[in-house]
Amino acid sequence: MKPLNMNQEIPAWFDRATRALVEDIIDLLAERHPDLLAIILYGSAARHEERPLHAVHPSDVDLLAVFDSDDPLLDVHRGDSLSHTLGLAYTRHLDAPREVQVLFASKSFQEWDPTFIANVSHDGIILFKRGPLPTPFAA
Amino acid sequence: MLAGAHRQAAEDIEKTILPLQMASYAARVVIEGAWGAAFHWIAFGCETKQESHARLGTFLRRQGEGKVAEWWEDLDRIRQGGWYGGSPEPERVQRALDLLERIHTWAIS
Repeated sequence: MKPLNMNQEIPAWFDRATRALVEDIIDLLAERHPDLLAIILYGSAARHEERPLHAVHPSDVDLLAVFDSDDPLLDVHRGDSLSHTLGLAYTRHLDAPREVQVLFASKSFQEWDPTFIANVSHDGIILFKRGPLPTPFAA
Repeated sequence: MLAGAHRQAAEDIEKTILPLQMASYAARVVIEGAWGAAFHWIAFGCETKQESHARLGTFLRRQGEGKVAEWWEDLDRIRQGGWYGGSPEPERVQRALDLLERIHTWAIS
């Protein structure tokens, strides 16, 4: 499926099936959650330090979805809805060899440890954005 | 582990964490315990309903248990928040226990 909302290419080293899953996650979150601001790839896959597919435990793909919300309990208050959206994508891509983990964040990031956010900002690749991004991801 | 051992482990963890749910100092432990108990309940449910339980989310969806997969992944996110976030708020602890209860109910149904 051609992604509707991609702003930046998913890194070329992603396998086809995992790439399709990431694209579907981005499209579904963007379509069903209008306050989605950004999706950022971070962690080993963003740094191209991921364990290969033939490893016993291939690296997961880590995404951070940022919402235009000040609610630090966004993941709790909207957990059912957001999990269901992700579930639609996961169900359509059961062949993806890598797990794709998605964490949720408010635009203030107050619910997250500053070191974690700093690391995401340092290594992260913005795959999707809609409007201006909050600090520290603003251009 | 055999199914009965998974069930015993889940029940032991639940008995341990439930009295701690109102103690703010124990929030991370309660969430971690909820995650562990949920894992054992899913393993128990899979052993009794299906066959195996490797790579849980994908496995559950392949068995047609998409809703349980969503509960498990939601709880997994709360657990990760306990490690990468600040001190977990009581609402987050309650959310973890609510998800555990759903998985527990599914496992023994």
